[in-house]
Amino acid sequence: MPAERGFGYWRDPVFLVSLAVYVVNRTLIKPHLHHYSAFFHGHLNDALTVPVALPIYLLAYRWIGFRPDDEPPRWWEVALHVAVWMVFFKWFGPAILHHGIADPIDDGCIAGGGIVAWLLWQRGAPTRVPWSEAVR
Amino acid sequence: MIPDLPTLTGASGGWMILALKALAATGFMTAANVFILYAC
Repeated sequence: MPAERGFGYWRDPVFLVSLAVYVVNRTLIKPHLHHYSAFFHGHLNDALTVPVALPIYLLAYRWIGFRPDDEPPRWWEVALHVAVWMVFFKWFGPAILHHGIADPIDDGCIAGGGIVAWLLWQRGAPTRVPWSEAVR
Repeated sequence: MIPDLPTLTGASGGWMILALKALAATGFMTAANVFILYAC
């Protein structure tokens, strides 16, 4: 039954767990670190970019009518956004807006997080919620 | 013959509607990226 295979967007378990990790890191871990930690101050956030941000972006595209269905994120949707985010956060931000840090390792973290998230999204049923329920 | 992109993508409407949707999606992406850059 196709209607039951919709992606959950903000109710997707991968999104919710990743968002929880981000919130815990931002509110509980980072404020209590006495020294700079490359992992907690940088790499972790970068690795969470795709699983936290992409579902919201795709939901917006769905509302706009640009995304035609509620399938889990496709590989090219993940890859396209990873490419855009790499350019925006690691080049445009630091070089043009003078905000953010251009670190090649961060690119790997964004891509790695994207691959892991995509693999989890491909597992199917547990992450899928009908669109009609997702917009309630 | 011009490819029927709206049919290809599943988006409803003609080329102009699709272009407007693409513009809106790009605008959202840009705004969201700026928000993430400064707020996160």
